[in-house]
Amino acid sequence: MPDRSRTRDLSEVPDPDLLARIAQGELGALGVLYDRYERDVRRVVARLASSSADIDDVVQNTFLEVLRAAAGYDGRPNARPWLIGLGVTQIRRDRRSVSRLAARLAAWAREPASPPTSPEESAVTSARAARLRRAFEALSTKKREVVVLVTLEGLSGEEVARVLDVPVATVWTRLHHARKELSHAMSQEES
Amino acid sequence: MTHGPCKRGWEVEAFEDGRLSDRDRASFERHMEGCAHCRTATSRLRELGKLLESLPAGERTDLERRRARASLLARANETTIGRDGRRSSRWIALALVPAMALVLFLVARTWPRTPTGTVASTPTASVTAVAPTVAAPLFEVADVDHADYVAERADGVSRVALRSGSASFHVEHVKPGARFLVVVPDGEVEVRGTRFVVEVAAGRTRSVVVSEGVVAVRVSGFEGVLRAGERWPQSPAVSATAAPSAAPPPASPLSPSARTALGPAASETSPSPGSRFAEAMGAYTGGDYGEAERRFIAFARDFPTDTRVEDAMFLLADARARRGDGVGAREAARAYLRRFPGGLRAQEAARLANAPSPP
Repeated sequence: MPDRSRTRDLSEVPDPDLLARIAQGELGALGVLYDRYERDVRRVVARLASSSADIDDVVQNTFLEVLRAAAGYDGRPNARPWLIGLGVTQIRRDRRSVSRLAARLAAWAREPASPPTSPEESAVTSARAARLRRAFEALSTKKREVVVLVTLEGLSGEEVARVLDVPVATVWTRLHHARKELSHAMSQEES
Repeated sequence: MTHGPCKRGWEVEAFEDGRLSDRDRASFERHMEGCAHCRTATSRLRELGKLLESLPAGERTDLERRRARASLLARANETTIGRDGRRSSRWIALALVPAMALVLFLVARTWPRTPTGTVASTPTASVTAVAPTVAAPLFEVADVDHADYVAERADGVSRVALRSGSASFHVEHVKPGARFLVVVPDGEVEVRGTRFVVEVAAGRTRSVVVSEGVVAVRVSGFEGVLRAGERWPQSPAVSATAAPSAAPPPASPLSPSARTALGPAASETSPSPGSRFAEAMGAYTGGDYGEAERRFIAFARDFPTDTRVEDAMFLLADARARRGDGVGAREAARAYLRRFPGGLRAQEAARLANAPSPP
């Protein structure tokens, strides 16, 4: 029978210890890790997945992957970048599945442009946000990844380089070109 | 993002990204005080970052999050147990090999020889042909609609006898020498690691639908192979011609519209459960409850272990209630409660299941 007090205690356990427990098959630790970082992983997945329909699948698979990968965790005090890395890997794996492409494109075609985030939002701002979304979706996958991980998730260049398995300089180069493309697309639409 | 007329324009991004040393950072801050170009570039970069934050972030409710968490832990548990189970069965199989070799040697020396050249054609006969040291395949059976079945694993063969109703199967890879059989009243279905649904009514097979892998079907005089996305019969009309002497089926627990919906529409061949669930939800939120009902049934049938089956089964009941099918709504709500007695929608489902019949 699950020990609730133990689960409560786990909420204070540092990330490396949680992952060590998960590696030993302790599912309560996986639940606590999920509570801690599900929102972060989901946000990244939502912004990088090609279709909103796949978000739930990718997030679940990311945390299931933790079961396998926990034993090799490198002991960093904060597991967030590592988990985001697993999420990015899952997205890439999901993206490679050719059989999903048609369904994804169909779903994408059906998805309307995002509505304003609140009724108070001014027409000018929402129009700009819509323009930005279009420009963001037009970026290449590699550029999107660095924009999300650096600009939106605040990961350091070194962390992103580790997640994407590229040199740090490549991270900054991609980010620079992504910003350039976004700014260009925005200014073109405005003119 | 151009560097513009200022020679230090390149430092704007480095400054914002935290790539400058403390000394360079202080220097650039002093520079910006007197450089309108760099100030503007910095504020534009910050504005871009703010706008990017407005990108959709896939928000969901606490209820959805709790449900996904419960589902994750259930799947994680299955994964862990499955892994250990396979490991232990492998060790048991290895330990049995010397003992079985000795038994076979003794039997071969003393047993009278039998005639050769006969091919096992019945499920029972084929069971005896399997080497007993091979582990029977692991599988999952899920009740899609009032499934009445018995399952057993022995001597390298996993067998499910489906007497009536509809059940969904997921079979792990079947090793050489092992077999997985679904025995139906009028034949059998044999698979090699796949997902499929079999529906039986009135003592005969109504349909076999394959969502993954390959299935060999031998029912009602039909013999053939179905691949992912295929079904037998190809349409309800073919079903009628395939077994003209069969008695008409009794009233199905599914409503007529749901029964006819068991054949997948073109878009339902999509392998992504996320897309399929989204399509069903689209129909539901768009008020097309008949279509939603059809898609929720197909979703529960094709992805029986998916986390959203609980939602699909509840929303199926709700969709029926919304289009005035009180009887169907009650049946679907009861099916939900049977499968998810402690489910997150149990209270609402109980209300639907006990709703009074219209006068």
